[in-house]
Amino acid sequence: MKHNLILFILIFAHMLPAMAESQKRTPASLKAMGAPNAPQVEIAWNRYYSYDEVMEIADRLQKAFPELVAVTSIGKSVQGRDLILLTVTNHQTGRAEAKPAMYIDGNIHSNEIQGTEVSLYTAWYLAESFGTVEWITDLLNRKAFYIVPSINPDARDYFIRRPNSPHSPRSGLLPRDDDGDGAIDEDGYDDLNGDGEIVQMRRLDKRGRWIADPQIPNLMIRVEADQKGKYELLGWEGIDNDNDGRINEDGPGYYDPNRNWGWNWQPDYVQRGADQYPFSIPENRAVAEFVTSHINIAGAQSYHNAGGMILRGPGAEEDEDLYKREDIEIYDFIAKRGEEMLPGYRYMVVGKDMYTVYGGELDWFYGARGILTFTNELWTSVDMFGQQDDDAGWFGRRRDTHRFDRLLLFGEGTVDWQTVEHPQYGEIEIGGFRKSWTRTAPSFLLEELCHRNMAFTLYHADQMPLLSIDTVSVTPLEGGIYQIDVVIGNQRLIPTRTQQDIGNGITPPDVVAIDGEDVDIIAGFFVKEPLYDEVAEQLYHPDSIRIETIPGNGKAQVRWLLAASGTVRITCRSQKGGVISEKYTF
Amino acid sequence: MTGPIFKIAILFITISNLQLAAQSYHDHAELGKRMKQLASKHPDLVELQSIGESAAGRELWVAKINSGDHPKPAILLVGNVDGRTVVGSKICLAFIEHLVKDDAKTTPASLLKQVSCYVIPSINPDAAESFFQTPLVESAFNACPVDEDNDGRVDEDGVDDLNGDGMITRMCVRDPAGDWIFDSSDSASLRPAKKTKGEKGEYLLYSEGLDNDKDGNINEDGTGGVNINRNFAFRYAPFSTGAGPYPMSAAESKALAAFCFQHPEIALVFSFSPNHNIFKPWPHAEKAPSSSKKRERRRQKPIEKVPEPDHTALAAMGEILGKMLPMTGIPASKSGNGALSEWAYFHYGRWSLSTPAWFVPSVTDSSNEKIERKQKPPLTEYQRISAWLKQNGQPQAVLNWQEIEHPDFPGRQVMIGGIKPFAGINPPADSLPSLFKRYIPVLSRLPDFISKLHIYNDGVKALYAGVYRVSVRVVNNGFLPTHTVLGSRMKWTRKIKLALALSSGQSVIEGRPFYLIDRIDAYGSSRELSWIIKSAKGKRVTLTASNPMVFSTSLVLELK
Repeated sequence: MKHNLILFILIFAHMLPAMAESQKRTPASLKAMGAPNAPQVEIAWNRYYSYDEVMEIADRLQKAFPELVAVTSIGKSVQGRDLILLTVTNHQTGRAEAKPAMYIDGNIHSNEIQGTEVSLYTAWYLAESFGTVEWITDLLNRKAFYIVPSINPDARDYFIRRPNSPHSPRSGLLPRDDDGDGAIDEDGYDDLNGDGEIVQMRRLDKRGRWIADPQIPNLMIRVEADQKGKYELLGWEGIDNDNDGRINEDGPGYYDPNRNWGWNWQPDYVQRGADQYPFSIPENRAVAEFVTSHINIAGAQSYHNAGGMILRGPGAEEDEDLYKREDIEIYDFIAKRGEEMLPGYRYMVVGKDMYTVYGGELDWFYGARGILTFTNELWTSVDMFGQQDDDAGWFGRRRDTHRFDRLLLFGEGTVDWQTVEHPQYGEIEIGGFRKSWTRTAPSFLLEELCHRNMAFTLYHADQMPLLSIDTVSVTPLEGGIYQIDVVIGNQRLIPTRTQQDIGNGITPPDVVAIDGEDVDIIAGFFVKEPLYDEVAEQLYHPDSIRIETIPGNGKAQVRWLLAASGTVRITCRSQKGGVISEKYTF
Repeated sequence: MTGPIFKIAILFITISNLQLAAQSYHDHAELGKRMKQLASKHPDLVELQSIGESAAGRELWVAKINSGDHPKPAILLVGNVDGRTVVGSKICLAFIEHLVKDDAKTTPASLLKQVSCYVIPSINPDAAESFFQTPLVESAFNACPVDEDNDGRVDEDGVDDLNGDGMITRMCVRDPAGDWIFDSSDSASLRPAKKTKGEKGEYLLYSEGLDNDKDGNINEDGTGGVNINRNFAFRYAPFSTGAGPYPMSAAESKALAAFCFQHPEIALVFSFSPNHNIFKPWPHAEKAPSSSKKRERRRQKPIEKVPEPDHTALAAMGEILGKMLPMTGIPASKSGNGALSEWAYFHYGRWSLSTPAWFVPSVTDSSNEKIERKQKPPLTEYQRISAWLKQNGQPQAVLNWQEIEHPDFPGRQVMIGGIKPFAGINPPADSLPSLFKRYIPVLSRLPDFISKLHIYNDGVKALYAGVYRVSVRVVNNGFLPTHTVLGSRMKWTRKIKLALALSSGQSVIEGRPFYLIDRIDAYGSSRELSWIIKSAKGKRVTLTASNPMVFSTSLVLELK
């Protein structure tokens, strides 16, 4: 009896939140198009969540949508945090592994945090909209999403909880000796005034070349060559902790997690930030192992900041010939759609339009795995005043970020200059942008950033293969023999296997198979060119015809000569296109 | 069970095993047993660790041989880099046994006073095990399952011992489109037909086996695996045979790289591998890579050739060591896609030397001249190996071609034959002692190359009452530069630290407590540094120049 009571309490306690949430199902408010009007899981999309909060959101989504969201871990971070994975699909229409899947991650660079919010928003929006928005319902019935909100959770928390600048750290937290002195992480930034921000240092200097802008005192500007200045700039807030004459030269980390991937990896004397060897960073290795073992992944997206870019590889000149025309055409088409959906974002090729990157994540995804992959650089100067300005730089003109801060953030984004005593420099002043301004969206623009970028990625996901058995045509021949022709169609833009995949045999070919109780296969063919009836006979295992790829918005045809009666089943198995099947009765 | 009786028993077993040891090869279990015995017998010298596990869960042993507690540069020795070459593991073991010999006056003891030796006898134990298994089959792969033919199934069509002789050899099938023919001079010798000379091929050549999965291909997806010596990140060739899905994907290569970076004291890596550079140095870069920071930020090209002065230094070591290994029939160094030895130089930034350990020597005819010179055309690899085997007491290792019935080739002539697996790869066990005699002096010579720091006193000058200028030069008196060029440009290589230690009442007026120096060239190259110090007259300061991978030094100066 006592046990039953405890059980009852447990069950009841468990039901409470669900009951509370279900009571909100009939709101008086008018639904604004976009987000659900009465979400089962209330989440504010106007702030940046710590690791614990990310875990909690994932957990709430899983509890509210057990048939849609599964939370697991793909590995551990350096400090032992779980790299959580949200698998989002309608689990009742098939396992995620049997569907074409979109992989999404964020936050590979520690300070580029909003990728996590976009990823979480995507999981939330998909789950909440299933059953309400027909397009989303269809998508989750047919496709799966593997969402890893942060592939660098240690340094995400480090960025959020500890004193940092908008640019620190880029690295994860694997301890490294950066200056070759044998001591590890002994000289990072120092928060001199204890305000939780790492800002700029300046010092009065008769021969200094800098002055404060007359209109915007927080903005430092360089004087003309023939003018007299007032200040010298001393870099980021910090002291020489180890007395080696250098300031902030060995902080936590330091490497670039996005130069550590095993495609055209180069050591750090060629590629700065590469770390010691490919996948020496455990978080990256965990992703690589997950992606290698989930060959249903047919598209991928990584979210960074900033600059408003939709990026694809190659990162290095050596790989320019690697990208085949057919694959580039798909990249181009999807990205051009993205430029429409994301005002201010430009479609660029990393190595050609930006800078050389060896060992980048998107190069590994396409090069090693043959997966069409984009990186979005979230947040653009266009988001501030709606002005397209090609020379504004990734974070906008400094004058504009200061003006935006003054006009729309009322100065909250900046630490005003203040005097502190520095052990090496004496009396100095510190001031400048707070860590959550200049690269990350302010609260009122974050939800828009999440939704627009998600919409682009959902468009990409929708363009993953959608297969159908278009026709089954049977021609009786003499002697009780039939010729059966089957046409498999792909109703979307992306082929079942990219040219990179086909050319290097990365994933197994698609297979169209026939089986039945009473069927004798005489011969099986791939129909190379239906118009001219040009065929290639498959001598071995003719019941399962292998197809290299089913092209985007295209078709593939197979043929059998057989003797059969009763019912046969035709099945198309594609690693990245799912499994479809149809029966035919003779 | 403790006490003297037990110890004597172990000692007795160990001695008798050691005597036998030289005469046979060891499988993984036996190798581990011997390493453990050495560690338990010499706890003051040998520390045995496992740096990880192979794909099949075999320990990757490292013996750390180290005398005394003071920090020393280290030499890393790696065997079995090509998984089939078990002879390298044996030389590694023999070297450990040599190092722990009790006589303090012999070379090992003095060698161990200078350096630590880290010995990894087998970095690919899964592949090495194929040498000890039946059927005997040459494999360079670890046990990681790989879908070589990309059909969605793994390891479903490997080799098969069709004639039941306990070994996997070659299989030739008569075919009108064959590329191979039997040589007219030696009916057992199959060689490629010289089509440009009008010869027509008669046979297709396979490894011995069946089309197990009935897909029209024979042995196209066998057991395993990743070839560890193709999985390292330097010049990694994606999608090539044995390369693995990405560089450093294999537990073995990752474990070795992690071990290397965890041990900054490793100065030199010596490996037994096909990607050798002792007999002939690796290709030379045209000019030293630019170190211009500006250019680096814009675009730095990958570096795949050895820059100066590293090339000269490696070639000089190779010349000295090559002369100590008078060998003939030296095979060309294989192009190293993902090779360990080149990785150690290019990506680990350390001095790296490699030799194949053993290869089939040149064969001689009765007049003791090299056959190759007299005969035309030159011998094929098969002919050379079979000739050597016949001349050196192993005629049974050259198998006669034997006809069999093959289910995949009904009605066609199929023959099995060739050379016994491993016969051209590892020497007969009874020749091992003579090989040890050659290699132990070579390995013992390695510490002599390591750079030796020296602090040269350029003078202590009294500038004023109680104020002194101390000027010194840090000199490298060693054979090698302190750092390789590439190593010195890698963030993960420690710099030379020149530190000043003061006693109470002294202080520095100008100068830092320590300076970091990127690298110092070999033989007499130096860096000048000075301090201005406030000190009472007659007091002393101590200067230390140190780096984990070189011989460090210190100097005490009196201020007067």
